[in-house]
Amino acid sequence: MEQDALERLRAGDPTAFDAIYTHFRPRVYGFLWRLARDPEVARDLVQDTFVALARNARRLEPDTHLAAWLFTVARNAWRSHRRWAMLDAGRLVVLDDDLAIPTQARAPDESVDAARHRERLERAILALPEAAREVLLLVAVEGLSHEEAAKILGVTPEATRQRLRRARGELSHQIERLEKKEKRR
Amino acid sequence: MTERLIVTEVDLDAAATERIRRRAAMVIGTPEPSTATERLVPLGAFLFAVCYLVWAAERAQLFIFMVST
Repeated sequence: MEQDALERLRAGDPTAFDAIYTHFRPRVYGFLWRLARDPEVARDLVQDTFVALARNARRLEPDTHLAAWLFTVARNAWRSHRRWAMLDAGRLVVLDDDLAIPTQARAPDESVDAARHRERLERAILALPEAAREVLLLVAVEGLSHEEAAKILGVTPEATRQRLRRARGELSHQIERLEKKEKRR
Repeated sequence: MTERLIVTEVDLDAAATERIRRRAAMVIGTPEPSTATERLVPLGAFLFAVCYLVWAAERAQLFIFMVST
């Protein structure tokens, strides 16, 4: 799908853009929500990302990896937004276990424990420092290779592997912390 | 193989989805408009080059005059 849609997008085919938008939008939104920890900010950044794709449609190289391209632009959009947000303290997100987490209704075949674990995982991801969060999102959630993630993050593949190892360790620690907090209630 | 994390699937609401789609459709293939800075920098560089050439020409004339006298 990706290669064919890319070719048509480069030719300026709007239906190709629609197909790519439909396919990647949820992933880019989820990535930005967990990165920005704010669904409203994520929504605005999704627009920036896909408008950038539309503007650059004809300039994409034939061997462009769309997922990597989109996550690169999305991450840069977030970093640019964060720089401006630092100037406006009122827009800074308060670090709190009660941040809005991505939620969905429990599926009929999903146990209560599995649903609770999923919620705990979301809270643990949001509680990570940004550097740990972004590498985890790119590799462990979105399935990008270490090499692709390294290009997006601007580091070497080895540095990406190390960051990922540390991020997984911190994630386990956060999940344990949340489990203990739940038991105390 | 990196162990994958299974996270909650999320998506924008229908109104936001359509709004963004329409906004992007308006600009497909249209490059980003240049900013004022991007337009002024080449102009500034050109004016500087002209002033430098005039100054250099004047200095060259003065040198030639001094050498010939």
